Amino acid sequence: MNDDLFGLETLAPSDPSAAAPGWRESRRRIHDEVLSDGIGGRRYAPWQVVLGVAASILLVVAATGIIQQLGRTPIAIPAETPSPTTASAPLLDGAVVLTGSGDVMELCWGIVPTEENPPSLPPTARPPAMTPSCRGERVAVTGLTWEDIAWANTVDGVRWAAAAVTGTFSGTGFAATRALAPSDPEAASLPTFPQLPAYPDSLCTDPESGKGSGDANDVLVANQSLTGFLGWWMSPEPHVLNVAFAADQVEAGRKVALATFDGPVCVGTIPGPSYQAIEAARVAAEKVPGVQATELRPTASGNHLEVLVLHDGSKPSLAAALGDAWEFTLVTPIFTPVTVTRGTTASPRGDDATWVLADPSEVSRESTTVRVAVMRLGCNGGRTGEVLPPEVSVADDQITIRTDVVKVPGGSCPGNDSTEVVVHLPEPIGDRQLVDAYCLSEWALESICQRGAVRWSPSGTERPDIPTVTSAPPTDPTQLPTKTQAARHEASGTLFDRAGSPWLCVGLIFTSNPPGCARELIPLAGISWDDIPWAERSGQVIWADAWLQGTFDGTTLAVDSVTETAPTSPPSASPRFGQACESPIQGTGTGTDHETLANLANKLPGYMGLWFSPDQQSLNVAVQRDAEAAATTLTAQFGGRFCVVQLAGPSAADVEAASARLETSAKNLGLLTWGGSISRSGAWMEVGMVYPTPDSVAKVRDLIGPAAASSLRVVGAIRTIGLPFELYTHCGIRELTHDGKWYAREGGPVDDGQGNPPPGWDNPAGTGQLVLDGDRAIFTDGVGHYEVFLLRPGATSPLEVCD
Amino acid sequence: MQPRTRFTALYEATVDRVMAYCLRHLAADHAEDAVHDTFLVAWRRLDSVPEPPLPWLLTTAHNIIRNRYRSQARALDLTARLAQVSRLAAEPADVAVGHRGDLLAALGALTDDEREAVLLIGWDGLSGSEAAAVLGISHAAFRVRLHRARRTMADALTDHPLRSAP
Repeated sequence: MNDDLFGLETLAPSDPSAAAPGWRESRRRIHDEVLSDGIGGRRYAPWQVVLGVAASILLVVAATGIIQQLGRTPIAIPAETPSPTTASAPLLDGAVVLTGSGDVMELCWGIVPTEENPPSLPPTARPPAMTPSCRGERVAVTGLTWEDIAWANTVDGVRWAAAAVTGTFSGTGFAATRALAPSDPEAASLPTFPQLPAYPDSLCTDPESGKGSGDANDVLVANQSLTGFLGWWMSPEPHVLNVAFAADQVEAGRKVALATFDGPVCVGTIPGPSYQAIEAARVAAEKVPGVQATELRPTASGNHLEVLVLHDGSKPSLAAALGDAWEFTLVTPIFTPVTVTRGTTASPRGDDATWVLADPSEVSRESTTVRVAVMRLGCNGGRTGEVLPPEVSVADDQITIRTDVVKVPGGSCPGNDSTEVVVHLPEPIGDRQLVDAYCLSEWALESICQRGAVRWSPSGTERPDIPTVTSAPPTDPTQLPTKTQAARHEASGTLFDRAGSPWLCVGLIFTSNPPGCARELIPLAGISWDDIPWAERSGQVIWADAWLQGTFDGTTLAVDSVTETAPTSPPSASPRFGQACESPIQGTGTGTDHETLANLANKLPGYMGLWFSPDQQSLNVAVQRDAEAAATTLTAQFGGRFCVVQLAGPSAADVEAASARLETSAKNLGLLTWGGSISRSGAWMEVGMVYPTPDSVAKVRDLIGPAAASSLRVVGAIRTIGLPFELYTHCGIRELTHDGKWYAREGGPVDDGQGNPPPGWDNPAGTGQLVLDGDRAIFTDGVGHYEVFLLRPGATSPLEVCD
Repeated sequence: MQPRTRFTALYEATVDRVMAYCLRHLAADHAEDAVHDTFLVAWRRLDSVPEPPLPWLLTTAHNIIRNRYRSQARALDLTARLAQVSRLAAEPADVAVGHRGDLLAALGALTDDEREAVLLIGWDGLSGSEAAAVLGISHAAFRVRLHRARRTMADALTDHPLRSAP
């Protein structure tokens, strides 16, 4: 026994089931899921190295991302057709490989830096062992240096990195606004990574033994001139050569294949055009602008052509060039247009920025142009980046200039630099003031605009100091704690320095180094950086993870205890994107991409959403009812592999409607984020708030309607400290008892319809916290349940007995 | 040995301990996901998994929790984490019920970092340098942390002297 640890090791867990009741089943499932991730054997396309390194990010394509993608209009920007101005080029996210040496950085597609590795390895297991070299097209990258790509590999002086990049294509190359490592949590939220093609099945269950001495390539050579030859592929498990012929040529083909190959062979037929027709289509596709690579992809489900395009915008010209073969073409885009995450402030055109005159002394009543220095207000790694064309509106007494900057998903948060642009005025300034439109907006940060919106006036120049980004916390009365007694509050999160004091970040935290806070910061009273010796500093940024306790008055958290905790970011319940059924259905319709499926599924009654399985082998559609009918409909219309699952929760339309309503009241309610989450673990409506109270949560419920409200999950940045509490859920969420008093759920009991806990609740009890507030008892837990119970005065027993 | 056979042997030998580790940081369903992701890395990098594999696996799990599940780890508050540890703890016949409770209470007196240090040694059976590698800190820093943790535990156990079995 190790006396040093007081015998603690005698308590070492032997069976995790004690804390994870379903572990026995999960243990087997996880083993099988991991092993089905992929054994090699299939032929691999030149871009699979690109896809392979992207795969780790690919695992979590958020279902909400897919829902958002439905409304997207494809924008055509093949690389060969540079946009006339960078300002109008759409902002794109892409999963790419960056290569270069010295100061040179290029996007590279079509590379095979590891082509000598045996193709029997899964793509993701192929290390960049040999000197990487870009074998395909290269595009110059601006806006980034190798210092930004800390995760880059250097082999023999050649640099190499997989990255999730955001930026625009200009006439000269790719103007990046940021790059994320594939392992960066933020990269996971980018719906950008091309779908990995499924590993093909075998054509037969009982392979024959080839009697020849050749390899698969010899079979191709021997067969490709035969009429009726369709294609061949290696299936992974078991490792079998599959050769496909038109139905009436199978027998002739079998003889050739068996005579040529020296291993197990399946010979059969598949739907689709002949090898020659597909090969002709491939040649035609190669000529379409924007096409980066092509590959023949015969599978048991059909004879396909796979095309890697820069962007979805190439699809129309590709379809025109391919004619009938388009039906059998699978298109994989490298880039997708950036979709803006809802939840923080959204300006109509770009991200918020403020401006000051670059040199006030050069402005006069006669000026028809002014040079302004624009500074991005959000976090973007210290870069303001591209300024959208300024909007100028002229009135009798003032000229208002609005300088939005190009939208980015976010970045680290050192104070941003400023970018100078020249603004052309339609007429001389005359006797008018110049005004920063940002400071007139509803969202203006007080600290930026505290000295007003006027930047110049004929009588003298106004020039505010631009401080670092801060945000006034919400002061709406609904934010105020409802408790009158001395409620205590807690928050754990990351503190950032603003003007020498620590503030609590309740907005998105960017986990770059140094980290940054996007917008919302809560002022703290009662502590200084001296109380936080573990604070870290990098350049101008000072930050610290901390667990705070104190009292929150709706504006300021007065801290009386601060301790170090694990690094944090805004909490949210996590979706689980596993495959929703044991054996996905193989559709017999056309179209195999998720957009086709989403468009079809969207017409189903009670459609909830869809998600990719982590292995990318199937798409999963969730519906509220009639899963069988939905499966029948989709099987006839869709051509790919999919699962249909029936879940409880809001429909896609419910979530959309709820989100739209929340968007209009976000500021008043102190909302930080909102949206739907759909996955194997269920469908929820998720709302992040600065400080949830029974009243503000009730307002959210009222606003989003009953369907979304029934699955509401609330995450508060600041929470009232409660008592550890186990809520009995066995017969639904009905009532609770504490300290001899009985409380019943506000709004009546809820269950799953059969007297069990609603979906998403543990059974028989859920662990969380209880806050007592007058005649109310509020139960909350770690996944976001927020349930209010009302005192039943004088009650001494439960309303119903649950056994 | 075939890679699949090797993987299965590795999985069977270590998965419960990796799960127990993940359960110290995540609710059960997220812990399962983190275990899945950890072994996916192990499967894809099977040739780089060293012997003994556990420190490597726990380091991987630690990184995955930090990078991919940090918000979920954050969602598990202190009370829930301690409840999780207490559920996980074995109930060996030769340890008095009271002593088990005292030990768990002493664990609760530690900071998250200290508790993690203690459990990597006491439960996961890692050496000091292995545990330091999992946490991504120097061995010296780890020794300091462990020392602090022992002192706090000793104080906590002195406040509540060991009870004898009922």
